[in-house]
Amino acid sequence: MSADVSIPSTSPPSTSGAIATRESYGKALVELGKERRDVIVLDADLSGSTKTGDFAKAFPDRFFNIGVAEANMTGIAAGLSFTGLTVFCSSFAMFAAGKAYEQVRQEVALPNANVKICATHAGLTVGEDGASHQMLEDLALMRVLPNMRVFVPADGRETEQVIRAVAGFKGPAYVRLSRMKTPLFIPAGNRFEVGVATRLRDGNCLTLIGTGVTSWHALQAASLLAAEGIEARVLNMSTIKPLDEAAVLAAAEETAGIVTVEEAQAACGLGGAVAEVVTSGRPCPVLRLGMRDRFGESGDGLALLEHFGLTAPHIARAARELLAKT
Amino acid sequence: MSASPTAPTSAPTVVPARTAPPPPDFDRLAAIARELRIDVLRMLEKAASGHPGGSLGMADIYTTLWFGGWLEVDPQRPDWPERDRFVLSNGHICPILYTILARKGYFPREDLWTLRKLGSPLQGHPDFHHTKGVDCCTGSLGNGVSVALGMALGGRVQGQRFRVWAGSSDGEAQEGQLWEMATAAAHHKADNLTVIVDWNNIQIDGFNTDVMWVRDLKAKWEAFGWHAQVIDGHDLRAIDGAFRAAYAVRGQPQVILAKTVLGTPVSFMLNKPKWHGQTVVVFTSGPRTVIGRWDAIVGDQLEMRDVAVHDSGRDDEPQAAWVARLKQFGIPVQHGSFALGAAEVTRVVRLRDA
Repeated sequence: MSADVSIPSTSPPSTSGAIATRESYGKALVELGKERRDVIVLDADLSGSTKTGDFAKAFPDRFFNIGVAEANMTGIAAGLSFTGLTVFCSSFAMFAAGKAYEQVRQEVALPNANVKICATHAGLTVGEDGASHQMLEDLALMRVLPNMRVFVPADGRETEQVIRAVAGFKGPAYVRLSRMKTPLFIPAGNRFEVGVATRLRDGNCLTLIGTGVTSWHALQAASLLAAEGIEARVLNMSTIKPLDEAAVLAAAEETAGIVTVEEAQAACGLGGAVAEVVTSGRPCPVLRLGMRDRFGESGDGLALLEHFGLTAPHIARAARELLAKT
Repeated sequence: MSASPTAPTSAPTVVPARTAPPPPDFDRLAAIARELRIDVLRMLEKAASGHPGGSLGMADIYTTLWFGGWLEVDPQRPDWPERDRFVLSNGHICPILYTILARKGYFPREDLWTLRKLGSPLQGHPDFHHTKGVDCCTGSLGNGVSVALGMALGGRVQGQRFRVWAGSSDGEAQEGQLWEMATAAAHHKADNLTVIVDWNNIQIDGFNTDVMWVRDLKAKWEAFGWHAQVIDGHDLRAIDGAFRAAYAVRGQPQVILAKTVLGTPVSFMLNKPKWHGQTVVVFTSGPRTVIGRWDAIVGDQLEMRDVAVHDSGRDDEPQAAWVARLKQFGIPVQHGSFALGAAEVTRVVRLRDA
């Protein structure tokens, strides 16, 4: 069931206080550290960028900088968790999920370790650093690991709730965070729950599903479509795994089709997960927007989203195409 | 550790170390090591796959660690938070660990004969979901040592005095992650961590010096900031002495580089790379044991090579049963005297060239 936050489809959400989800992550960790002595944080020489540095300053005895050694950091995180601690470990998504993938599988997912991998600078919107640093495959990689739960908070407020939620259960989590600032567009009254999509906008023509920063662009696309008389339902899918299958199936049942949007490979991530659910549950057209089997390049984050067809006008066009086929 | 809103923000970093145990009974340790080796061979015979070489080679070290009073554990409380941890980072030699855990009482000895079979508590590589007494999941080289370091830091952060022991190997020294771990452990002064390296110069594809020589491991570990010792891994007194020296070290992690001979004491396995991952066949009947390598089944006959015959010395014992068994498999009966599990092998019979 998706949480209906009852936003009137005519009023635009607040865009005040744009903040990168990594910033909120740093703040949330400090708050958690004040409350819980079992919270330990690791970083691999990127604590300034991932914002774990805030925690390091507040709780130096519960922070370990492991240096530029992500594989080792991941194993250490698992070992710490086996002594009863709740461990957050951070690096850029490229390294936390990519370089250390085997360690994540063997020492975090397989042992069901209480390790929360909070990977910042994920996706296309890391921007100027270019293709080598634009992690586009992490959702696919993490989603297929047994025991792993996968989250992509959409804005700063939701990030704080997601961090609190992952600290609240035993077992592995992968939290995908971004460098690009996004508006606080998830309504303040919304309460994040693991595995529950948030319905950002009602509509029965078709459904747009975003995750992370793309939820904002999906919402903007819905406004464009509304001006043409197309009422799109918008879901913010901040839990990729376990996926809110009920919300997806309801969308398949009640609307003409689904457009998914992610700043990741269009294969095997959000779009893949949604397609898997509808094909076996309630087949409907699914149009997956994301990177089409290619790497990114340097540029401003927003310019890249525009260039690769992931902003509101592109999403709206995809929606029209989907409707034209049905 | 439970959540506490009023918890202090810093954890104690000075933890009183455990005191070293009194000197062990070395004759008893030698007897245990011999029995563990025989069980390793029997396990692998029944499993028909697995890694005998390193399991046999490290039997003296791990017997001393587990039965010489060094590892503080309680088989009745496998999850006791303050227990010493043991992480077998070169997890493929888990048969020796499993024989130890069975003897310690973590599970019945009969479970040993189920190694690697569907539904067995004994997985092909260590997995704590299945096996009591195992502290994590290992097998992919390079990973376990990092987990061990995490455990050591976790103990220190929480003011616990347990020690972490990790088993590693010269083969694992080819993994970059081992050296990431070595760097971090020294930097964070993890003096409650001891790594034992099986330095037998053998890995799957051949001799370490041929495949990818790791060179002077003592100099390397020392350069990384560790307290390093090189010992004869089959000398129980030297092993005990090395543990004692490691125990006394403060402010620095310790490594014990154990020169071992792969396959000890099975003569035809000694220092032979092929025995890293080859399995053996053991037939027992009465006091006699025939041990050899399963080669092929040709027609209705089992062909073996590298066969040795162990006679426990009771020559008057009827041999009809095992002779019949061997004949059944088409194996010529050879008489030899093979003191299985002891240091000497007086005769080895080769049926065919390997």
